[in-house]
Amino acid sequence: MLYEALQVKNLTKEFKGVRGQSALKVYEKFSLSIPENQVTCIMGPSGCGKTTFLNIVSGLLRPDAGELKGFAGKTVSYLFQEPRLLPWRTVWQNVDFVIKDIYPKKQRAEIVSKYLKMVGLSDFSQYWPGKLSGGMKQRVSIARAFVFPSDLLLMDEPFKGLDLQLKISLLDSFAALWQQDLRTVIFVTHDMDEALYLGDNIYVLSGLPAKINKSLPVTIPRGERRYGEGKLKELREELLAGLCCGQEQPCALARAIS
Amino acid sequence: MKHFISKDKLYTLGAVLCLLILWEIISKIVGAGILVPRPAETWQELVQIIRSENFWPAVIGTTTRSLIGFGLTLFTAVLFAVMAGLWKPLYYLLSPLVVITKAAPPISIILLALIWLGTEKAPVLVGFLVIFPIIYTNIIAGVDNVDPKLIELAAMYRIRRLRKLSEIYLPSIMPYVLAACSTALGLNLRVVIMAEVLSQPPISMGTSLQSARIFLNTAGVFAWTVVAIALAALFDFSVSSLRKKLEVWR
Repeated sequence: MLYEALQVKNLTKEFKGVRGQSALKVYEKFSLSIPENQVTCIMGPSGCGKTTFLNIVSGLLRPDAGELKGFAGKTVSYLFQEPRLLPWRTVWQNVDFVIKDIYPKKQRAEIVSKYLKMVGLSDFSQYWPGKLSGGMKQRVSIARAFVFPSDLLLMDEPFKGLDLQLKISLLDSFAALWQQDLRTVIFVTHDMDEALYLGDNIYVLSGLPAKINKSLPVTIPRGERRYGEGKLKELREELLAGLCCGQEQPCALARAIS
Repeated sequence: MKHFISKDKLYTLGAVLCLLILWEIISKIVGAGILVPRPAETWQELVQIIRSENFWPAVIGTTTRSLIGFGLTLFTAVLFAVMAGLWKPLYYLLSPLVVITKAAPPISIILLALIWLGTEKAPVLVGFLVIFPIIYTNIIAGVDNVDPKLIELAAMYRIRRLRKLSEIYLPSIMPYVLAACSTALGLNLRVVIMAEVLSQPPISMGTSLQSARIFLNTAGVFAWTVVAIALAALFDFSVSSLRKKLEVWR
């Protein structure tokens, strides 16, 4: 294999039932490999444990059993569904916030202005987040995630709920940043087009406990990908079949998404 | 916008004028200055009071007592509320104390403070006991309302504890602290004056109010009340301008 991979092996995680509800076994002996410096997408119906997976990988949640190989000592940055900016800090300060303890002031200034420029927000560095649009806020959080010197970047549907044009421009901003500064990315999404546009590998999970229903490598170079069109469209059919196979419930869900 | 503000002020001015006219009418009907002095009488008395040599020492004394009490309360309330908000056992330990001080009539607190402390310090303690529960419960609510998503974010990016406190917790509870301050500062001034009436420090607004009453100088009581209201308004103004400064991001 060209790249080394981070390994999740025999992961088991169960959520205890509250007040008589039965326990929920989200993962049982679940294994997945995540190539370094690539974008690995994880798809699947709601409630199949995608966010749980990110939380375990990032260390926010402890697995009941299993092995995380290669994750120890890795620093993590996170792109959440919502931008999570501090409303009482300016755009600049919000990005600076995560590296304040890491670099001296002068270096920080260079890094922050570089990344703000890359997401196209140089002119807005002194704005309060409350004055920005949703897309601009998410751009700030993308800059913040890249400014932080992380080995691993986890993304939990950060492009959800944005209109198509904005989404594509954010995806392009992200791709440009990532191309300059390769990191291992785990990208959880519901959106097949997003996954196909950004991903190197796509895993489709389903069921409880979750199983890998389909794994699809995307080998088309990023420069040649066009959102929702061309060759990606063919792969999309294949992916849709993967989302649909097996249970009936996820099938309806997958159709609804598509 | 500016147009509306001036209109607003005009209405306020009109309302004050109405009140003054009503006051004049009532005092005419009652017809006894010892019961309801006329506005003009009160004004004369006010001018006289301001010119008297004890005026500034009394105002400064009361303001000092009020502000010392307030500052002390604010500091301890923030300290305890943040600790109690983050560490539940302390919260439960303090809650009966808070309930008791909240429920106790201010006059009981005043009498107890008089028994325990001298005339100078008793009003400070009274202010403390009356406003502590207000500030404390407000801040507890603020700590409870800190966005858990921001806390998670800070954990994710390994933000140090002290910075988490100063950059997430404190700004989050700030609106609650300021809201509590604007209520508590005025209330504190009122109970301090009330306590002064009973404890009689040598020079204070409360003492002056009480002596005006004893000499049946009702216009004096009115005039000192006007002074107290002006002082409360000044306090309120300071808090709201501080608020504007601290919450530019809103």
